[in-house]
Amino acid sequence: MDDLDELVRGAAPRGLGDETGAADRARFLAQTVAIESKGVRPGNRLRKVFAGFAIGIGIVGIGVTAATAGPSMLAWVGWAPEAAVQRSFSIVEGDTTCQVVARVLPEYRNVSDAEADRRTAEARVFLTQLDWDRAVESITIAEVDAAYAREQERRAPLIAEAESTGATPPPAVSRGLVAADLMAERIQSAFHDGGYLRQGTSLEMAAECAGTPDGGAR
Amino acid sequence: MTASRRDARHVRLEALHQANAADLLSFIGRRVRTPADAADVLSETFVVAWRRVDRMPLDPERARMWLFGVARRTLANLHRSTARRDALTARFGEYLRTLPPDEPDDVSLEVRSAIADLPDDQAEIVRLVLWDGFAVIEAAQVLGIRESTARGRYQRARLRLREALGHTAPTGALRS
Repeated sequence: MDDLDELVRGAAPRGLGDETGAADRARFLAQTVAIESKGVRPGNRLRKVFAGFAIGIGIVGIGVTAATAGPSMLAWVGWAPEAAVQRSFSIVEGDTTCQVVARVLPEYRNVSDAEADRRTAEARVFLTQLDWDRAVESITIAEVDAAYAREQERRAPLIAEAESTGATPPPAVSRGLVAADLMAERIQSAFHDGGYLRQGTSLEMAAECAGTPDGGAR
Repeated sequence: MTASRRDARHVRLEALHQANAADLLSFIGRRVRTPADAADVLSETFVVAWRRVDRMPLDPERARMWLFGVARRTLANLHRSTARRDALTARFGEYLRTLPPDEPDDVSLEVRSAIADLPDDQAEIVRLVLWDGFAVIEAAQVLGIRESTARGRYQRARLRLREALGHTAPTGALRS
């Protein structure tokens, strides 16, 4: 980036989508149009997108399907993960087991292709070698409850708007998916702290939670 | 197209919309007169994309560029027709109106003015690359032009901007 780039970038009007409430409403509008276009109501499914520094992270949470390790996991996520971590939580709704899978992809923008490939290779080594079990073990139930309360608070105006306009309300969120989000955030933080969240690299993650009525392992 | 293929496309388009909704909002917000107008254009962009789902590229990055291309054409159409306003879109527009106004400093105003003075096609590629964060090759896909054309256009725009803003850089003249 040279001085002209810097000057012009600095003059950009602020991004409306950077404002959390506006971004939430934009996604809600996308959902409403999808429902109208497909003529169906949303299922028990939640999609969330986080934007980190110069990267995009997509969280796809899919409820009620069985959580299993191994090849079948690839079917629900739709791609081959390079790392996976699983943890069980004993939450209000019962025991649930969440899995987060991740992969690193190059982003061929703002840096040369060779540099993007080099940074991606470094990040991939980090992703595949870090002990992710340790990264997520510190998540507490109180933390899950607090994040769940914040999520409910964030969704309240969208639900109110849906009620007043007759639109379909956003799909319900569960503590399990909130827990999966926290796991993903731990991974994102580790990447950030390790210096791997930079131009030329993106981190893609997906999460799945499933109830384990027999109690499951913790 | 078979039903299962169509279903797969629907799933991909829904995910594409969710993943890009915030970026699309910013993209549109930079090209409308008031923030409230962005709600209309965004809504219409989603509707048009659903109508044209069969044309969505399979490659995820190309699909993203295709979606921004839909948004560009929707913006152009906004000036020719009145966008449909349903209750949700109107409420969204009201919300956007409550956001604090953009208050650029003098340097930013001068830069924006210099961009606005460029020919439209050059101004747009500068916005796509330097404001919206697209690579030049991606901007070419959004605009529906060849990469070589986009590169030439971008270089000419940069030369003009450097000339117009030579005295504007905070630390002195821009290096030429």
